[in-house]
Amino acid sequence: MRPTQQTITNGASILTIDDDRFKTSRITAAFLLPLKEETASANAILPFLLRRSSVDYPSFAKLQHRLNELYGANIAADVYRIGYYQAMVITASSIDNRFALEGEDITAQLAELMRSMIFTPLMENGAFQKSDTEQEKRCLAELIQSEINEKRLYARRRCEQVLCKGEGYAVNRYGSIDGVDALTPEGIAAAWENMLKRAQIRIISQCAGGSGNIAAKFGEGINSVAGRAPVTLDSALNWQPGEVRNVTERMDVNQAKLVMGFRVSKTAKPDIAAFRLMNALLGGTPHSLLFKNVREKLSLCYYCASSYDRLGGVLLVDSGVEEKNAGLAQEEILRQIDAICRGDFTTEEFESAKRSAINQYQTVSDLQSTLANWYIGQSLDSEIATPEEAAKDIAEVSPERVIEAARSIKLGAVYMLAGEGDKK
Amino acid sequence: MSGVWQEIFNSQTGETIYKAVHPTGLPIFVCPKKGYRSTYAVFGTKYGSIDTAFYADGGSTPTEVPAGIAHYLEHKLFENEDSGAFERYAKTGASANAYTSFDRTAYLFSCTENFVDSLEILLDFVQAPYFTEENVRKEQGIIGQEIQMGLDSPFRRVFYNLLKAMYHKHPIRIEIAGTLESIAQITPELLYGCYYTFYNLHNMVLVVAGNADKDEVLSVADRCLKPSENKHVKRAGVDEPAGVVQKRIVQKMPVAKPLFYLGFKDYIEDGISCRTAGELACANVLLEVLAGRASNLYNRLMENGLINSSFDADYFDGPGFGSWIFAGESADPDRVAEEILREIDALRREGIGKASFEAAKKALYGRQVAALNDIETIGDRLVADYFAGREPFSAVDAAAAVTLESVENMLKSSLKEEQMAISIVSPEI
Repeated sequence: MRPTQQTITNGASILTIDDDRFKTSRITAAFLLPLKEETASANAILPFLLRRSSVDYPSFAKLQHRLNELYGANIAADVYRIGYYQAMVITASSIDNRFALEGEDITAQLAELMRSMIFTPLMENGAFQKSDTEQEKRCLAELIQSEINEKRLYARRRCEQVLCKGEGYAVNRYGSIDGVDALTPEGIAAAWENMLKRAQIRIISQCAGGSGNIAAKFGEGINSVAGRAPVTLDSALNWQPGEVRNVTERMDVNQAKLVMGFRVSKTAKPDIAAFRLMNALLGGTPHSLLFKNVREKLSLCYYCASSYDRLGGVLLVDSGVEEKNAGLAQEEILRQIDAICRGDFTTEEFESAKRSAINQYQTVSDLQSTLANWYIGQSLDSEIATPEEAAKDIAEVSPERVIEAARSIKLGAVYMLAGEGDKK
Repeated sequence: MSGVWQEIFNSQTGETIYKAVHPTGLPIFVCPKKGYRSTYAVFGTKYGSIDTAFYADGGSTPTEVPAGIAHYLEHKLFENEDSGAFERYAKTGASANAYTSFDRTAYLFSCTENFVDSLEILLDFVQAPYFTEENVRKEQGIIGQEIQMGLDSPFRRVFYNLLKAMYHKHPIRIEIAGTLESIAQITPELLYGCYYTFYNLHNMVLVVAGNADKDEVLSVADRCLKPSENKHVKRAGVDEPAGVVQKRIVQKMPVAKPLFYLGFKDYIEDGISCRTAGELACANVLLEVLAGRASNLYNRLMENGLINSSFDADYFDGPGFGSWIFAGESADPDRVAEEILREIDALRREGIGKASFEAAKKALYGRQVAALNDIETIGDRLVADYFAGREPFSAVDAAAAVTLESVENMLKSSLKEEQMAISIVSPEI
């Protein structure tokens, strides 16, 4: 179904998805600011610090106890990267009012709780509380440090950084360890004020029977901000093709992680549906060209897959291989991309990729979290598309458009995380 | 046709599940979800990595097989004589996958179109094994890389190391995929032997959730299921001692800061049975009271800088095993263990407060209701519950029925220091 979109005030809107299929209601609030090295850390700590407490529940334990009473309601904080923007996101979810054992209006209470957390947080002398700040600084720094633990994700991130060096896209959405270390309660308070004043705000309401008091609660909060002047969002990408950047880093690992980063050379109005389908054909499914050839035919790896982010114009191909086979895997990956560029794929392969991609988009609406993320991902767009509309766009893509899409990507970086022992 | 269906209605949530036993012996569950666009189907066998020793056909001596065979079989079933399952699914657009866990293997897909065709593929390929010397050998490279990937995952290492530290004999101490050495012993004959033992329809279950019509499911089952002999396969019970193997296990790996898994082992007398829904609900409420985000323990550990937001507590259970696991990252995991022991002690002495019990119970109830949003969760839980002998929806009902007394009784009998072990993965040792 198509959600209704309503402007709350300048630079702030609410998307209402009236849906009675779920047992839960969900409220998402996203604050978007440009993603920059200098401000990333101070912005990133905000959602974590804000969701710790509120005026009525002035400690984390008290707030959590209250959430447990609201049938295990959950308030979560995170930071997303939306193209060149940083989105500070707070999400509240709980079982829907229909399932409350004592008839409580849980959703209304959560909306009020969110308003109070975000717009009137606990502060002392105009700054965040010292002990809360220290705790969240430590947690955020540890979150950044622990990125090294998951080698596949780490290698993908490193490849993006190499590929998009100097762009907002390459900045870690959680900021940097040094940046977090330097944060002060006063500095964070200034970042909070700036966020309320300057951020583009997107609220998503997913409840049965409409959005209730949610728009009013956020309206109340936003209107209390003096001198609001939201940033203008711009989804244009600035990127110039250059030499392929090769980086190999070594760590004590058994399996090498190869990540090849490609960029869309045509940055003005790319054919999104064609890129999505090209990605499915190349490496988005277990019957894709990469899976069939790199894994099944050559038995080089357990995974070899591709992913496409339209917001950065980036396509990544990654595989976990033995280091001595990395060259072979790389050749085969390039050979498969070249095959698409030459139109050397069967109608069956094309139609299969199309069916899978359509299936993938049509499934998005069956989970509240994936649907909310779908719309947050469109925060930069002037018009929103439903997942069903995206599926329909893919259904109309011709093989020629896929070939055109494949021809417009350029290899920009080859990153490898390899073991210390394999090569001396 | 619909006369064969048993209707299981849950008044707390308004959900209905239909159950039938197909004449071939296969139990089928269907959970229709109104308004959902997609359908999730899962075809599972009660055969997991722990089944390395079993009694087939009422025999008295157990058959023993190499570790990792259930998982190997899962990979190989995707390849039939004339085509691969993924290529067949490619024609329907379904998103297909499979997984092997400690106690089961499941083949699944989700789709928004061509459900009947996809279900036919699912039932068909799982019933059509085709193993040759060549295709079995080829898989060794792929699974070998999967194992290598697991060796590089600190989360898997810290978890499996804990199981090794806690369990003397129970096969959960062996990794699901096996080892490079154990998979090298796998042959087509061994795969066929295990296949015909465990993949008989009496030992399996089919679950469909989402946009589904139960009679449509049944008619596909009528067309595609082949009668199979009931092999009366039985898991070999394990004579697992109550105590742990070692108190502490440490491995060095490139991680940011030490990861820990702290476990308290429960003694399961017959070495084979599973926990009931009531016991699991009690355990989960107890964990929420003890270590949930509203707890004294969680907040104290956080304030003292001993844990971060990755901290979690869970009850980990299956046939013949059950343990309480506290996991996270910490500069000082041993101090976390001390604090947890101290808190357990305090809770035993002072009792569980009524308010914190009530809040924890409501939280568990809310989570169980919320889990019914997701058709994949519904499908996977129905499979797990069926194999463990638990009724559909029993988790929701049990959460609503937990009493303070039962939680206090559980606290008395479990979480003992002598049954505790800690596993640490550290950048330095």
